[in-house]
Amino acid sequence: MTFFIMQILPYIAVAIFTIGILYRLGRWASGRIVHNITLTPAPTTQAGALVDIATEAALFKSLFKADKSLWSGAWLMHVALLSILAGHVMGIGLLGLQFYYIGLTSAETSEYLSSILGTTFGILILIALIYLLYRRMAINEVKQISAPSDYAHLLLLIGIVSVGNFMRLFPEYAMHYEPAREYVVHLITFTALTPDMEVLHNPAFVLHLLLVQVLMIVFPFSKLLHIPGMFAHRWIINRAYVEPAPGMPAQQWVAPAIPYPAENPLQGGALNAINRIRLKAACKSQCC
Amino acid sequence: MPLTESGLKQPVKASAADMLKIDIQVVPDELKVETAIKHLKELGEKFRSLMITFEACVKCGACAENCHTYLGTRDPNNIPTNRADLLRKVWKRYFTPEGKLLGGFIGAKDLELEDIEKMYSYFYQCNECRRCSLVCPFGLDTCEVTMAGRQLLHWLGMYPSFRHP
Repeated sequence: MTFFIMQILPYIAVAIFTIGILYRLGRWASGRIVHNITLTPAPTTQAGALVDIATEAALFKSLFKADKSLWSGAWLMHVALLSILAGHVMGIGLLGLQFYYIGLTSAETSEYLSSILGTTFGILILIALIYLLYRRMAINEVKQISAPSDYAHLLLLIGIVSVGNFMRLFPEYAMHYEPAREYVVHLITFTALTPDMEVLHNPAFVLHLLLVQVLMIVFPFSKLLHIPGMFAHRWIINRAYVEPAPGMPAQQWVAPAIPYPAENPLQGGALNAINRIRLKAACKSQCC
Repeated sequence: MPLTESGLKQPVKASAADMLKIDIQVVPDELKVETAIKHLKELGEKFRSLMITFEACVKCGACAENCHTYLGTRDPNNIPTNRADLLRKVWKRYFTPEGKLLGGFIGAKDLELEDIEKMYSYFYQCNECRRCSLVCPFGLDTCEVTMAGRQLLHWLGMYPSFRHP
């Protein structure tokens, strides 16, 4: 079982994650942007639109304006999550020596800082996730709109974070940078694991990895798609407002009716009837 | 808005004869569900923004307190994301892998005739102000879902009467 989780499942999980995301993005891309539905107030330049989207992504601006308590939970959770992901890359890739390599600190201080930052963000994200779960159960409106999967996603994340924190806070279950790096190198180079590797004998680490792989498999088939979805949708709704919208045919309205010349023998009712018919015909050929 | 037998507030429907004048055949009740699913597929696949709105909502509830229809009625179906859910559930159930597989767990649901009646009630209670889109962290446009829903109902021959009462 441990062997399956550590040696085989990672490849399955990464494959499902990648192919699933590409499938969903490809499906979105097959749809067209049919309307000019820029949300006002909108910038008039593409650069302004990009700045808008960037502030939304980095600071959750519209959520901040709408709901301060939700914003504090959600923003804290996402910032901590990103920091933790970056921390995993740094810890496993550079063994926690990143601050030493850029010349800020000594090697020991760099490792110490990495450890402190990891623990801090681990606890912060746990607090934020528990607040979000509490909010989902306590606020009547949010409770009414929640499906079982909404709770399941939060519980899955809380599970991953709890096991991670557990490994950090209890030294006998701790997973150090070197064995984790050795394991990742084995995975990347498609080398078989050896039974004496430390990662195989730490149940907390195996559980942590299993839950992460479940998350990766679930990701393309759940609301977690809001990450690419946000950029894809903001691209439609926050882009610069120009007329006609980019990618849409420029249609110029040409008055289709006959002018009303004074010398026209047809007067009143007859001319109006002809105009009506022509108008209909022109309208059919131009816009419908 | 008169009440139907089920207690839903609905606009008076245009008669079949009136609908024929604008070239719309009223779809009989037994065909409504399959026709609606067919048209929903067309709409969702055509409009990228609609598809993303169906698939990327996280149900955070930021839109609830910002919808004046919800503030006025306090009807849970008038929470913007729940109103969009009338269509979103159907989209997830028939056109996404997770909905086909897991159904109710992810909030997907088979389409039934009474859901269509519900749509006819709630999609006409939205006044398309796009406040929900403004406060949504992703800018998801519930207003567009409502418009698509009205279009769908129009194709089914369910349209508010345009005669003066």
